[in-house]
Amino acid sequence: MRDLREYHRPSSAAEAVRLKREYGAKAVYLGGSTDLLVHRPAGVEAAIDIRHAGIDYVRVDDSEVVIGGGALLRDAEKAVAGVAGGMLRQAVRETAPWLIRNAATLAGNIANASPAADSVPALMVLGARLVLWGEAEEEVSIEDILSGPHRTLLGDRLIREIRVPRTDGVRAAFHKLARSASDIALVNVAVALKLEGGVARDVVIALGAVAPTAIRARQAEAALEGMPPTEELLVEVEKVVADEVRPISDWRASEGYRRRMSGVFVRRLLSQALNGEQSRAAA
Amino acid sequence: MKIEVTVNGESQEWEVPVNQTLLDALRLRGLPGTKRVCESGECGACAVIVDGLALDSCILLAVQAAGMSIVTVEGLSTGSQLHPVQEAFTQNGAIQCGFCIPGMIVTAANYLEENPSPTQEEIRHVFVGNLCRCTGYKKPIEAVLSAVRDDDTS
Amino acid sequence: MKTELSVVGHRSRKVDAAKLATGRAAFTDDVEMRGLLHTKLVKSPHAHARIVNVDTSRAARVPGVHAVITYKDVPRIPYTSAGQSWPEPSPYDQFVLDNKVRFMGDPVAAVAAETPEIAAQAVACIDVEYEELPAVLDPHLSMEPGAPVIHDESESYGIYDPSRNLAAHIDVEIGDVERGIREADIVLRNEFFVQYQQHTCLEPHVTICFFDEDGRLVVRTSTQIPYHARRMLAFALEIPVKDVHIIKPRVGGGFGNKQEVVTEPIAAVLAMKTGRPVKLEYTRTEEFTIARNRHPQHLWLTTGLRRDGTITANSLKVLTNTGAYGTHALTVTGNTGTKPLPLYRTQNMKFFADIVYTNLPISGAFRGYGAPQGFFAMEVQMDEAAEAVGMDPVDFRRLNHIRLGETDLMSAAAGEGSGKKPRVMHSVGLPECLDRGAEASGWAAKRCNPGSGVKRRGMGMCILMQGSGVAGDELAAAALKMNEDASFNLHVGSADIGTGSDTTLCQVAAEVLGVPIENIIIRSGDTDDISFDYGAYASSTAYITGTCVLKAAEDARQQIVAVAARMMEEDPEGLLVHEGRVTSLEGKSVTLREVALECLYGENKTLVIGRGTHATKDSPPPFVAMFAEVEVDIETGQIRPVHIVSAVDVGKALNPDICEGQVEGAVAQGLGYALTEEVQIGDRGQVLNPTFMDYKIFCADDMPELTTILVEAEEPTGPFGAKSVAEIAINGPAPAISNAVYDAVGIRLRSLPMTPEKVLAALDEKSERSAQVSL
Repeated sequence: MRDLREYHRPSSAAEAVRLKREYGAKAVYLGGSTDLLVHRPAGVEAAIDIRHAGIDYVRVDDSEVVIGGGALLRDAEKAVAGVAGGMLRQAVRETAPWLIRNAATLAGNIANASPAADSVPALMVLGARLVLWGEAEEEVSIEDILSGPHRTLLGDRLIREIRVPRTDGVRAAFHKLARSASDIALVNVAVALKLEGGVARDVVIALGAVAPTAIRARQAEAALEGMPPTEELLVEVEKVVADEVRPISDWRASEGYRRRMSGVFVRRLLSQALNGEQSRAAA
Repeated sequence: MKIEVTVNGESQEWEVPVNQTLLDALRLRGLPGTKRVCESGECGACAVIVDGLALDSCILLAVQAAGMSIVTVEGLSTGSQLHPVQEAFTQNGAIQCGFCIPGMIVTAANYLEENPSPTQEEIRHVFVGNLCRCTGYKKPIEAVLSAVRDDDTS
Repeated sequence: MKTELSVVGHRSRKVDAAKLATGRAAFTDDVEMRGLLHTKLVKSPHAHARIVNVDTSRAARVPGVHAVITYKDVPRIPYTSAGQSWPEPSPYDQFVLDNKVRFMGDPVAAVAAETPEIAAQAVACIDVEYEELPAVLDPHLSMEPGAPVIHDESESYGIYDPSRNLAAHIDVEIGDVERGIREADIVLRNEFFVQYQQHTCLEPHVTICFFDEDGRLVVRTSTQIPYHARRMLAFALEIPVKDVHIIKPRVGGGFGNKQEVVTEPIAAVLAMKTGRPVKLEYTRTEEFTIARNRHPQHLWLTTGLRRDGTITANSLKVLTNTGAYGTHALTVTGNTGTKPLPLYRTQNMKFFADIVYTNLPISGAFRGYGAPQGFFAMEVQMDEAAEAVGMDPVDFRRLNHIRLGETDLMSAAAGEGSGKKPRVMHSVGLPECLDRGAEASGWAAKRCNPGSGVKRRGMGMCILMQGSGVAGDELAAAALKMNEDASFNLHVGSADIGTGSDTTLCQVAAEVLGVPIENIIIRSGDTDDISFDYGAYASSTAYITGTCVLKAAEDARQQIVAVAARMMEEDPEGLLVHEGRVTSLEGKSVTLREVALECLYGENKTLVIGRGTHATKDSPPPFVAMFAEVEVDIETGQIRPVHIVSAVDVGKALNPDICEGQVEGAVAQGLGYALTEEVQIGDRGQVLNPTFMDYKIFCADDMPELTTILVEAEEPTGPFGAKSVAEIAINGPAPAISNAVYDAVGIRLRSLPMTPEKVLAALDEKSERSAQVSL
């Protein structure tokens, strides 16, 4: 922050990317600045404000919801209200207090790469795709770009938009476990699956704050995939998840507690999702 | 960097360092109602309304507000005529030390624009970003509800 | 006969509400000051070290830097930062800056510069060479033979035993505890642990010092103790009291953290060095690391019981961690025993405490002042006692609590003040508090009814007692003058730190003078006024300063009546001052305006000046019965407070809105203490969570439903029957919730904060125990 001397307000995403490529690591894309001004990193000399770059749109149609890279959390929250029974809206709301949702962007919450970002597991289980702009346009998954705590593989690429597919028959649930309604997650969990002929299909389980990045619990997913989701099996899945996560201890919670809660909430959310409504694409 | 902003309805030209927060820029210009408390977007004491949305001015660069309209707590009242939320806070015993109160009032006033008849639950949720150490939040929340009621009856 | 009250007892709008709601420049840092310099501190990176060398030459050369100070630039005078009455009962073990650092963050040097950024840049240019010393990071090891001596300097005094790191020590006994235990049918022995808690005043510590046109030092500062600050600052800097002028503007929360003189001396020295106005404002991180905290303690409580539920003995032993300095060391822990112990009727009580130094953050005064720690232990123990004798916890309290007319002997034996006289109970509203609190919480129906499933419900309760000022160590003085329009300037030395005392005091004056509250123009906490006060601590202002304002107003009223009597040619006896008039029994009257004009411009010119001073050895306790309903998730260990009912005997609610606000705020702070708040310390003595993100106070969405019931057991010694209200409720949430958790899931939590992990560990242990039993 000490070194921040230049502020750019490009009027297009292309110009934003051009500026970033010109400045490289000395510049940052600025959404709401709610992350930059909290962490105040040294060495950042230029800020590229993407809120005026024409990518603050949201689009909702029958097959997907598209959130522009410059769209605020508050706009995303409204746009995704009908997605997966409101699960994504819940995750976006719990990401930050209202005052922050009025300033911060959903793309920023992803690019910030906090291991505890609440929107990320929810987006992951719904199969959200990121459209990146750099040298060329490309589409990737969130997992593709997360490389560590507050580290990404984005480089100079800009998240131009986030695409959330709307799929029929998905059952999904989200939970954020925290010490307070204003806290960062001790663990956050999102699940999505389908129930076809009495067996679980397309099971996706993602967790945040229990590894250097948000992660998929692939062993747990595999344990449930294609199986009838009995209570006994969900208890098994709980154990698999608890073994699969790699949390740390800090002042919020111990490694052991995070591990145990990962299992508890995966079980609870699977049960909740199975007993809850399934989504309809255009709901 | 030179920017133009509208502050409480008045057009102004500011010369600000790029790394200056909007909070600092406002306080340096004789608007002390916006409070410095956490400087990390946790407490809401620095809330101001920028182009119609309340946000934490401690984690916004002043230059980000270039060309925009800013309303601070000082801009909510006109002369001795308090904003209905300000009036409700003073009438309902909602103010103790008063340091978080400008932020709470700005937040509530702005939220009521979006949702003119909120439930108690909705106000609780909106106030998650406004920390208060004196009141236990009960009277401030009641004050917002009463501002809504009084507005209905008038 | 008493006429009906027209201002006191009403929900008057706070006199300062409008300016605070509109954001006017009311606080210390809200003024603009030409030439103001900004201060940044160099802080110790070690928990314990000697400063071998400090080189400030590079920093002094940074353009825009006006002064750099280290221990070499300040007088070497030991003082205490504890804002208490003179002579302070805290050790004189601090220096404005020292050649030794005793905890991580201990200030080493200070820079005054044109901007905060330049000051920060200069701080980075100061080279300090430290000789690191072994540190004491565990209070249990402080007194061990061979432990590093933290206060090895020769100048400090008032330390109980510096060679053993023992800042203060308490050992009192009333009756014969050994006999009491022998006579008991049941003996309970338990240990309790309580943590560091941060006040987190929203406004940080902030001071602006400058010299006025007469060369006097003006100190505009966020303080609870303007008059103590004046005396202490003069002492620490060896300047005459007459040359110091303290102005307390609006204060953004104190809670005890500003019952300290910490930012004032450094800012004053820098103002002296530079001749410019200097501001020192703590950052939020500094609030969490170098301000004060609630004392962590380890408590051992032994209780003897007869099967009929009577208590034969209570014996409390405490180990307190005061951190690097002993500010409020003796008196805070004193209250850990002297508030909870005498609440219960037993002839035999013992209170033993060691208050030890460590190389850790500094403990100090914090709302409740030792009582939250003591009540946590006592009230959890009493819940267990009730169960042990098969009684309902409410009935157990009814049987054992102190009664009207009875005497608190513990206050005399180990009380804080110089008064040290037995405290006779002139008003005890506890029976009504218990009845109404139980009713409002649904106690009878909801208790012992946890339900099944993963979320269980439980009910818990506790009772509490506090004081109204420090018995025997309080003085308040106020002056009140009458203006032409029957308005009155009221000058008091007390400090409204958000408590609403300015409003309450105006209500008292307005009531006596028969004018609307708007006619009272109050100024508080300016040491150049005709006023004096020990300050806003120990829940003293309504009771002590309130009585003093009552006296000042009565004095003014008598003068008004005398003039009015001459004007009406009536006997002053029997004249009433009411609704802006002085009225005789025959119905003749003059307005106060007419009286005022007569005084100032009539035949017998005089200025009506009411004068009041008040000191007392009484400190009547307010009482609380608090009821908590909780929900416990047995899989996650989360405790969700559902409903807190506080029935509070305040004597007389001078302003019900303000009383409720004090209770609700104290409950919220107490909930954090119970469940989420803990300043966590790393293995080098560093604070791990010094931000609002990492240290969790309750936010709006965390709050349970709050019900506050004001009970008015008139206190004969208080103004209009009032006692105190500001602190007491903070003691309640921790024990009430612990007891509610026991009701819900059968585990006793004796360590704060009651985190989900502690709950799960206790639940695991319980299920292991029952598994073993069933084997």
